[in-house]
Amino acid sequence: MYKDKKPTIRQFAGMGTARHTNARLKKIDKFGGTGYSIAMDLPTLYGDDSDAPLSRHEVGWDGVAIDTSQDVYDMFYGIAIDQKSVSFTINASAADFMARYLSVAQKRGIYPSRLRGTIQNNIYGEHYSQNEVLFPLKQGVRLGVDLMEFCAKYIPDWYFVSCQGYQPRESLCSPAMEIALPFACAIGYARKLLERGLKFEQFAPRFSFFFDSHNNGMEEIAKYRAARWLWAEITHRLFKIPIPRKYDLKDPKLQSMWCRIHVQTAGCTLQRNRPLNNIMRVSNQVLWAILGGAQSIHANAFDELYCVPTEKGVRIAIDTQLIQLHESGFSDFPDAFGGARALETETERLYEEAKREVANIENIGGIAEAIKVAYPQKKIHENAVKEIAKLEKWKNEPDKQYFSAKDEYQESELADIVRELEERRGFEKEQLERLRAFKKDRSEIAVQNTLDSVKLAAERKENLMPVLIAAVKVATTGEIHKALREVWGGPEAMPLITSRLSREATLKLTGGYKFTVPMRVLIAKGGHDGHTVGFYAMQDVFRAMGAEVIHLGLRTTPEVIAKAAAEEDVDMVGISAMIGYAPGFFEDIQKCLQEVGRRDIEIIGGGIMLPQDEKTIKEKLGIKNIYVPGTSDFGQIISNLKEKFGQ
Amino acid sequence: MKKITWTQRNSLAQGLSLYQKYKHFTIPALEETNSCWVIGVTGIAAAGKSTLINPLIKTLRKKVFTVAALLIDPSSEDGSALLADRNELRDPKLDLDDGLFVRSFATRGVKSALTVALPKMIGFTKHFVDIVIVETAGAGQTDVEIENCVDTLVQVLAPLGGALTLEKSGQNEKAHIFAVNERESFTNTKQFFALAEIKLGCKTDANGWTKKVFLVNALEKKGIAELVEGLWAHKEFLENKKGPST
Repeated sequence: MYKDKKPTIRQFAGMGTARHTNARLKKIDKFGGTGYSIAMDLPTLYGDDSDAPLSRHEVGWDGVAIDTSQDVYDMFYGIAIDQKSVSFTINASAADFMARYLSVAQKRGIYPSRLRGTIQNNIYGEHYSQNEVLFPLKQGVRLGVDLMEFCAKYIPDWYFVSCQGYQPRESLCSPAMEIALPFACAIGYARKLLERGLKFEQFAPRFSFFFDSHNNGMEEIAKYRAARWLWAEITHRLFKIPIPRKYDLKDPKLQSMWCRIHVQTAGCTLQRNRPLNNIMRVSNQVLWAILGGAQSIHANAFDELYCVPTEKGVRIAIDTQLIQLHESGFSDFPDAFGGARALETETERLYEEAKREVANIENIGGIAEAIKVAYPQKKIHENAVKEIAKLEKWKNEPDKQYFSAKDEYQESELADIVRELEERRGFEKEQLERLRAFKKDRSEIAVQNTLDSVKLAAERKENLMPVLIAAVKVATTGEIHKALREVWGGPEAMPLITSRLSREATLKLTGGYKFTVPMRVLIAKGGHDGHTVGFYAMQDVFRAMGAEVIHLGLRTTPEVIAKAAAEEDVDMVGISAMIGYAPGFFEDIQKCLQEVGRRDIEIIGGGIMLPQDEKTIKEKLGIKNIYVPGTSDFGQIISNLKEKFGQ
Repeated sequence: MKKITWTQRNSLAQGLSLYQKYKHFTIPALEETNSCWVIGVTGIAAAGKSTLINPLIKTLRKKVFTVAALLIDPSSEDGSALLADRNELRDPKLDLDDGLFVRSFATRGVKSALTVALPKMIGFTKHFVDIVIVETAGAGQTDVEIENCVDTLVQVLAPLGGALTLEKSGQNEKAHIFAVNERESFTNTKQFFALAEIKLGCKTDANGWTKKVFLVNALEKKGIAELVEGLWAHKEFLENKKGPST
């Protein structure tokens, strides 16, 4: 943060089809936002087209659906992209998307050097947090580094990687780990780019970092300060950037030492009950970010944990930021509380802890090796179990009743969301129509030729970006990634994570209940989504109850789950579904189990969903065991199980 | 195209559960079938057994045989288990393959029904498919002695240790085919493979079969075709041997 340069108000957008997002972007302009943060829907993030079998109930749901370059063109129609800073939250398929964005800029006659913005493009990060992974680690990193190299050379103002501590923190890791992980990733990328013959100061000024703003204010402010301190030290010690003698702000060597931070307020602190209370939480968190000196801030809307925020939610979020910026008075003082004893102690503690973690990862052999031995995953998992147990305890504490209590206004507070969500259910159909029209209008031979050229380039070692920029004009996202997968193979199986510590903690959750006979449970993660906190928690909870857990892994369609459940002859199927239209997903599973003649298998589900969706699943589909973090009581599920399978 | 119907699939799945639940469960009047080929895959933990089975199944499925894979993993002391081999077999080509049946088992302790019933379970599975693949952790780890109930036994070796390790490993005498699983992190694979060929290969067992050693890379799916060739050679050998006696 600088005295005369205020943080960008970067509001979240991206929903439905290109048309809907375009309207939302224009609205954000009107509300006073100064930048965009565009989210894609899960099929796009996982490099699938909207008509892929896994994409059911997900199209346009938690972001905009992008299948073709036409979608990108329509999304920015009438928006001056050369004057706006645009951020894209996309990793595994970042190169493909960026190629589409560049080809749109080309079509509109905008020079690449005039584009400003950020693309997340942190593939290491995906391996330990959201598992948004399409290729084996080595090839995935190559694709990401291709994009970085291309941007570093031709788009000087583009932040080509945003190493995120946000996602691991949202998966409940410790704040020190939140600093250490993105830095370890950045070190990894820097080494790769150096190998390609670039100089450190050529690319390092365009590294950006993405942190969370959580509830604990002092710790959060200290976190941003510790991060800046540690990054400067890393660039100096590891990459031999000299400590500047004179502060020429345009000097790329000096800029390489800057840790530029984008902050999003913590989505995991938003509560489902009494949703309007979230406005207060967000307001606090925005203040921490301002005091911590963030370059760009995204305030969550109070309803963001249910869905892509409603219009009302977006307006309040932008206003929250504007109020903190103009009315709190803190924005005139860069590092307002620097020197305060408590803050300095806290900063030092986080700095030391994070430094130790970076050293641990470096000693394992760098972030790539650490991911292979599942070091970050284990660390996140261990802390997550502790945090979940803590929040479970809060429910019973008399002075924390505001936290989980419901009240009578709740239904009416959610009425807007319910109405907007009803409209959103039509997105899938509309996008499929768009995709069909696009596929009808092109020459099949051109598509085949293009895909062949992509495959050839993938086999060789050249930079893929020029090939992709040409390819995106005729091929869809799904086709390009399928071609790349044919050459490189799919992602490696996800590593298994269990830990003694967490099993003890989960024992508390189950209340000591154990199955009387050996039970067989199949656990799977439905759809594209790769959030694994709930998945691993489920695995540990069932194991604590003495069950044999069969791990089916990520990205399962209802058909695959049903086949596995029948073959394994399990007693229960546990499914974690986070994003998309949850009732549709559970209904599909029920139908598939019915088709294979195993309707008797009990379904246990968990995930984030709207109260009305939970009601639909429980009442219409008759699936009683649904655990929604924050509102449901796990004891209820345990007693259901006791009833069915005996004490 | 041959496939396993849903009725067969459910009967097989639930039959296997009964065998595992009740130690002395038998299905009367179940005749022996000889047309089915049983392949056992063993090897120490982390040798790459399940990673190898994935391309193995794909290659066998290409030849239009129906395949059942029985994957056995040890239980923990507290009775729970994490059965993750099935996750290793996840693959767009195998996920909804109607000619493939995959089943994971936990051993449920040393003296469990599984140890007793495994031969019967394999015998039962034989009635449904052309090829049965059984995977266990092998000697010392699960106490499931599979060498007696399979036709062809493959041992997967991780290139760890030297000549002495090869002398020591318990099941080496019983296996018909060895697969040395190459991996990036081990540098002396080539040397280990050469040693394994000297120590293990080209030996003839009591039946007259000459043992074979193959170098594979399960992750990058290299050398699988050769390994399958070797497996077929052993099957042919068995059939020829059986031929004159009947």
